[in-house]
Amino acid sequence: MSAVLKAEGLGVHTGDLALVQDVTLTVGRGERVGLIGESGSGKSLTALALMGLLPEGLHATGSVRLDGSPADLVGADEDELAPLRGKRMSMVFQEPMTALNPTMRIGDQVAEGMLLHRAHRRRAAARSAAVELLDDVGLPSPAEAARAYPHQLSGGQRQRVVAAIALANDPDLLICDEPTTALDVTVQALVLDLITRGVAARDAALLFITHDLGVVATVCDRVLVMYGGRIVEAGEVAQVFTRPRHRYTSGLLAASDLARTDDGRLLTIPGSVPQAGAFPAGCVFRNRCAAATSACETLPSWVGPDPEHGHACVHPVEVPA
Amino acid sequence: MRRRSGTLVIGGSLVAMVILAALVSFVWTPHDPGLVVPQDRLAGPSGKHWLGADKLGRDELSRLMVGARTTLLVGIVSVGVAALIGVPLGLVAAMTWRWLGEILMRVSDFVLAFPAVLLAIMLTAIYGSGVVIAMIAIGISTIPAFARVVRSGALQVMSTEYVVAARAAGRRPVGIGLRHVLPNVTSLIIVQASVSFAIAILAEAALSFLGLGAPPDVPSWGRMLQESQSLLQQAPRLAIVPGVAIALAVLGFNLLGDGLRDLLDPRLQQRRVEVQR
Amino acid sequence: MILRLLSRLAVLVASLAVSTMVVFGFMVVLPGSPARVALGVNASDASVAQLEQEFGLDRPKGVQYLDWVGGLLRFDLGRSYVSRAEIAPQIADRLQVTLWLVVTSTVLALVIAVPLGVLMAVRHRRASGVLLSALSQVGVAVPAFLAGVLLVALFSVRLGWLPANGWTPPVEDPAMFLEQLVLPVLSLGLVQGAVLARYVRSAVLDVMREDYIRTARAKGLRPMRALVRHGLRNAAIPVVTVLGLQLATLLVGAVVIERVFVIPGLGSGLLDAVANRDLILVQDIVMLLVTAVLIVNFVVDLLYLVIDPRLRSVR
Repeated sequence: MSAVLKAEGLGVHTGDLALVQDVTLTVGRGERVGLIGESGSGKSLTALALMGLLPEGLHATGSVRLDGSPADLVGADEDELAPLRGKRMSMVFQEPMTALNPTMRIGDQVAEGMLLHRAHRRRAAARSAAVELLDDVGLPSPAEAARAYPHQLSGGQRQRVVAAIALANDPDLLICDEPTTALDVTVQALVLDLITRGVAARDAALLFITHDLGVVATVCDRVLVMYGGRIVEAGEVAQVFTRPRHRYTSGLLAASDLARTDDGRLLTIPGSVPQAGAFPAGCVFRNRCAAATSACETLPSWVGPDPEHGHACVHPVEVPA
Repeated sequence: MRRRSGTLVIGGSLVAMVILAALVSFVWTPHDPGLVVPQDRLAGPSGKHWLGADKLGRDELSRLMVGARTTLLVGIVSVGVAALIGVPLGLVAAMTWRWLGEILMRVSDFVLAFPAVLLAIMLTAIYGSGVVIAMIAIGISTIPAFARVVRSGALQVMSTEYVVAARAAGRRPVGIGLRHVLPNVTSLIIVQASVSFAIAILAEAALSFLGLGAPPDVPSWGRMLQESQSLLQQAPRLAIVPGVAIALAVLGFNLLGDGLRDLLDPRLQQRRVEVQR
Repeated sequence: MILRLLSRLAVLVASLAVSTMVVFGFMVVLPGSPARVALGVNASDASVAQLEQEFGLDRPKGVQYLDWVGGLLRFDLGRSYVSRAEIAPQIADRLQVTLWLVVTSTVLALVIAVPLGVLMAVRHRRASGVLLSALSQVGVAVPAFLAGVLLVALFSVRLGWLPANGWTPPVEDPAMFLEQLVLPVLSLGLVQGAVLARYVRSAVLDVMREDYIRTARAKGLRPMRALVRHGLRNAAIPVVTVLGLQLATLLVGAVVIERVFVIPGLGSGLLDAVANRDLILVQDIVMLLVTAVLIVNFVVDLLYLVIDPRLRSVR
């Protein structure tokens, strides 16, 4: 399987403060990879760094390569990045209410990307392709929706539009940053379904960012667990979710399991996610970890056959043989 | 952040300079600002007249210092009165019935259609010119700014949880207003006062430039500028001196307002936290 | 949308009605009569009475008010207490002059402010942006009349390139008209441009942080193109508000600038009327200026509807 996206040692910094460190990940064609962690763990920054869309004042280090593009995307300039964005790689954002331009018609916003990347040269053709695409993502009466402005659509409908924009040029890589978090539970499943169908139809690679373990379990093949700006565990979803090794992963799983209680109270991970840059040296999780010892004061090394499988924990959860 | 505090320092220093000039002028000026010395007519800068002398031989620096007094007096009275009226209006508009707030805001929209200088001209036509007329006109046209700023700030505070809780606990509106709302909009009021002061200086200068402000025997920057107009050939300096004074004073209060806003506005601190997400 | 339009129209009409009362009210609270003001304190009671009778100033205030407002509606502004000439035609001429000034300087201000403001926003972290921003801050601190005096000192007195004052109607001598227009329009336009540029800057800065700009970038638009295609229209909403509010400032600036450059516009007319104590003329000109401000506010509200589709939908 060829890797569509390959990031190595990716970091995000502001000044000399490291917000994301040493993230290594690959996503293959047709593969669906989840990136999970609590808010503040650096998931969104990782996604923006991959797209080259970090906000001002933040910069990326390491390397990001997209299959078929010779340049390293980290440190590439706009002339190299702009033709790739929306064409080879695209992104669905978390907040559908603000992700669309309030003063431009839906159809024009969808058609814009196609015109830009020369999928259609004529405006009229791009417009009708946009309507088709809106139909494809399941908007009722797509022709009408194309003429509408964002405020006339519901949150779920807007997220479908954002997905349509992202899928417009049949990208090789789709990055979704919490695409369903802001939506009603009833709508979530529909949007998830259209994303997975859209990706499957195009045989595209999917990097799916969420804090919702249930979503990862239904959508993804592989998963990366992120905490404190670092990948702490990775592997097949079934493997990681049933036999977690990193103490953070097991805590996260225990906390998300509503059936497991401790004296009638829901299980939680003690403490809270520290402020960015205030994570302890060594193992980033050690100040919240019951198993932490002085050995955790040095950065744990990666235990596993490859960066896609393994964990970084000195005291991993024992696996029943 | 560092550059911002630079704004505050520059603005503060300029304002301090104007205030200092005005205060010193009460006890000392290089010469009597009204003293006519015919042989010093249009004299250039020298040891005797640091900034030269005007067409009557009056010392330019002395007139400039006393002029600062006029500028500040008009500013303090008009902005002060506007705040005294505008702040309670804004609070009432935010804290009582919605319709009252709407009406007050419509009225303030309406007052904005009468700029200070226009109002002053109209009043002058009836009552004759004078500093008091200038103060009244500038004061009236400054009220809406305070009312609006305080209302929007107060509305924000009113929707915070602690105020909602206080209201639910049955606290009286007046109590809530004085205890919770007013302290939280104080910074907005201070910033607005600084910005309004700059606008008041501009209006006062325009009025005295038109000969509608302070009487001719009271030195004022606007009038000094107007008198220089016929002498641009011989002594352009006479235009530049009061002109620079006006511009620096306005710049000072504007920068002070900007600097204070950054210093006091809690929303900006929030924005900084957001970046760290 | 129609509802919003109608409510705004109602506000406009109500504001105009209240304005007439305020303007008229200011004039009648005066102790004594406008005739006394016009003729001066030394005038004999007989001549005051005669003037009062001639202009109907001896009638009840309410009647006078209705008479005045009725006249306004028919564009009949009455006759001057001093020259006894019809006011409407002379004001029409002056209005034209002031319109030239205000419109051309607004255009100049926009031409300066939009690119400058966008540049300051885009480069706000770079030295060039900070420098421009500081310069605009200085521009804001310079009143139009000061700019006028300094421009005259430089371009007329020192360099002799342009006339220091005067006004020629465009139909009489277009070249002369333009020459005389340059300095007053620069004085008004540069200052307004500096003020407006700062608002453009902050509006664009706000818009640059919006999610939809990021969406546009994710589509493959370059930063500047994303800003132009998706940002400017949204940034225009606060800028239009300021532009409307600034018109009042600009009118005042024009009043003073007309004095600096000896231009026979509404401002000069107003100041002359004050000097001549011709209260009816003052009343008419102030009313005209206030009407202009209120109408522009109304137009700004209509512009919102054009710019922002969210306001067009029915609630």
